[in-house]
Amino acid sequence: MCKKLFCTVVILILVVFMAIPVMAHPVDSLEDKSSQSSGNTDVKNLDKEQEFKARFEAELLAIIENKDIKETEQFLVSFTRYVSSDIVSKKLYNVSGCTKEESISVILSRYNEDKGIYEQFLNIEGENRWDIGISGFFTKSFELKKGKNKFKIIIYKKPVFDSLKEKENLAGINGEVSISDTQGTISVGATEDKNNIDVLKDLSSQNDEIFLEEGKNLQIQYFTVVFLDESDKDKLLNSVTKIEDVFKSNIVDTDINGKRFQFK
Amino acid sequence: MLSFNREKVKSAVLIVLVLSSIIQVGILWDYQSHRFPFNFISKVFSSQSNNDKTDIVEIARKDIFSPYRITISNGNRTHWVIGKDDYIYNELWDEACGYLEKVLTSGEGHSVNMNTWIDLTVKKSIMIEFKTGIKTGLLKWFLDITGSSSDYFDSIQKIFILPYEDINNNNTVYIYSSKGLYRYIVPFNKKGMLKSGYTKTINNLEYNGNIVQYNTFKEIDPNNVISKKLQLSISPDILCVAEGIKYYKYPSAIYYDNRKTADIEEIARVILGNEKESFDRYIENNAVVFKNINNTYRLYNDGLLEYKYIPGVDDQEKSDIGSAFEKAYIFISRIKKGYIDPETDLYLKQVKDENQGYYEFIFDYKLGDLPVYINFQDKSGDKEPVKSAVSIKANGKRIIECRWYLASIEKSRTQSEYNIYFEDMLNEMSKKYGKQSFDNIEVKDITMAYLLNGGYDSKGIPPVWIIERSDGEYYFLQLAKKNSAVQQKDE
Repeated sequence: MCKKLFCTVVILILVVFMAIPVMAHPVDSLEDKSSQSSGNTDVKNLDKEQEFKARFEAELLAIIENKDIKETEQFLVSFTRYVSSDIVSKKLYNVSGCTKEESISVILSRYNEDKGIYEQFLNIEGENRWDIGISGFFTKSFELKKGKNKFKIIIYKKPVFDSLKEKENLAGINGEVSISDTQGTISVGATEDKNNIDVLKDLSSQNDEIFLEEGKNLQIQYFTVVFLDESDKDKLLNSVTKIEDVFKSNIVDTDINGKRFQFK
Repeated sequence: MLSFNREKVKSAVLIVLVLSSIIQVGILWDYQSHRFPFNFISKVFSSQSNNDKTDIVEIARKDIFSPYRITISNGNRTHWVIGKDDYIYNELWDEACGYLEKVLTSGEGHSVNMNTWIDLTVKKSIMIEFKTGIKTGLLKWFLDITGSSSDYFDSIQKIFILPYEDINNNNTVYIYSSKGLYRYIVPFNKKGMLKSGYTKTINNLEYNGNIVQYNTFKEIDPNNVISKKLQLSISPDILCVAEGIKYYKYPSAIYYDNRKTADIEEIARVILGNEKESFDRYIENNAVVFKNINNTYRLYNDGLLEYKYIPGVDDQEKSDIGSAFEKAYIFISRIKKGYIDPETDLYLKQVKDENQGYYEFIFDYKLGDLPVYINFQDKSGDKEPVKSAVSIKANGKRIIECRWYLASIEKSRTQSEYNIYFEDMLNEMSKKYGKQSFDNIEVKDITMAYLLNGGYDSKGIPPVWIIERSDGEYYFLQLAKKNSAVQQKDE
């Protein structure tokens, strides 16, 4: 009797153990399918992001080059020492500003007389575009060329795709954020960022949408700096010059963007 | 014959008694200092003491009397901080001392609106600053000015020299004092720099691309946009690096206890000098204690030295600040010689004179051109926190109390490059403390320094930013190393 019972138990144990991998197999395949689908979604997302970035960059480039785009109020960034026209005798020129907003980027561009467009221009740190840090303050210097330098500063609130990515990275470090797109939802931290989701949906559905709007999330500022080197200074100081001639000369142009000069 | 000898002996005994009574009175006059009365006798009879005093003033002037910072401005948004090793440093400091002497001995200067001082910092000028206002009495002691002289201001914190302001070939000196801003138009120092000398100095600095160029905060934010928008109030004369060199090489600070021996007799020799025989000595709670009726010295294992004059300051005269400083300096120089490495400088940070019985002199260490901040909290809670290197209370007659964190500080052999840009510093500070920490606070000074706060690293202590509030408290942040910044970018 004992032998029979023992054999039955052994057989049962064997059956159960053999059944486990068999039962496990379909689950594995399910997971594979799920991860495959998630991978596909990631690839789709990546494509979307790439496409989004490309469209955004194209729009930004158009804004940078456009010499007719209107100047806005200083609603995103307030400049600490802003003069629309300036005459200096120092080769390095400094622009400083501050903001209370987050995710703000700044682009510096200079007018190319030959091409008739503005072009991105490097500051002394080798950047033509920078994000304003957590303090909300920035100060950047750049080299002037002799004579008249016409600049345009483009300040914009970084688009949602970038912001989300940033939040994802930031929270990823803290282990607070989970982003799952399989169910068509995005959750950031404990609460859903509804606005972001809406904008993202809009982006995916409307390819022709304009992302940056002057006065809304785009600030434009023009300024002109005349750099006089030592020879110009000597010329002004040591020669007899009529005030009328000074204003007519190339050194000091009174009609820069229709604005009055401020002598320093 | 016999009677004659007796009379002679009587006279001799009488003379001895009279002399000994004078000596006894002398000892009492010298506040029971437990030593032979030679000091007292020498004070009475010899002219040696005057020479000694002159020597002490000379040594103290070289050793302690130095500015916190010398800055040159070219009047075109560029400022340079002149380091102690720069060839021009001593020349400029001598210039300043020369003009200070003229100011302190001349009549009253022309009072100028106090709010205009900030405009002086952006003009073509030389600015000499003390960390806090130094009492004019002490300045006179340092400069050996005797007799009647002006007492228009209680203390002086900044001296501005503007050689280009006066059109009649005079120099213009502004004094930023406790009572306001004063302008003095004085002839150029006879043996000093002329206008051409200043021009040459500024030109040399302009052509030297290896010196850090600073802006004042006033130049960066002339319209107070930042304080309005970010609720962050920064003093307009704070120096900021916003252009030019971004990374600059600094050594780390290595600090160590220079007490080469634990031999109690050797410690007594350094701390007590000639008086060591009159003190009892014993060990108590991690400290070597030297004690007699009136004085207690305690030297703790962690390097903290405490001295107390037990009777306190009752019925003591405060006396003039020069005499009090002299007492303090003699005390300091004796111990510094024994326990502090010569590379470690001490500078006078603050003088407090609120107490009726004594002055309090506060000194801090300086390593090269960077100040050393100290912040030690005793874990056991037995001792008060140590916030400065030396705090010494003294009057014209004696030292009342002293707390001194004995540490020898020297530069490490290797140097690292650190990010010195103002913008990056503010960002890192906001990350560390949170942006809200700076809401509605007044930043009095932002400076690079070394901070000793208990942690010891064999590789040395790297430089930090010190953001000092107007109430004296400060935030600190380690300067970002160049390599680590690159690594972070790569990551």
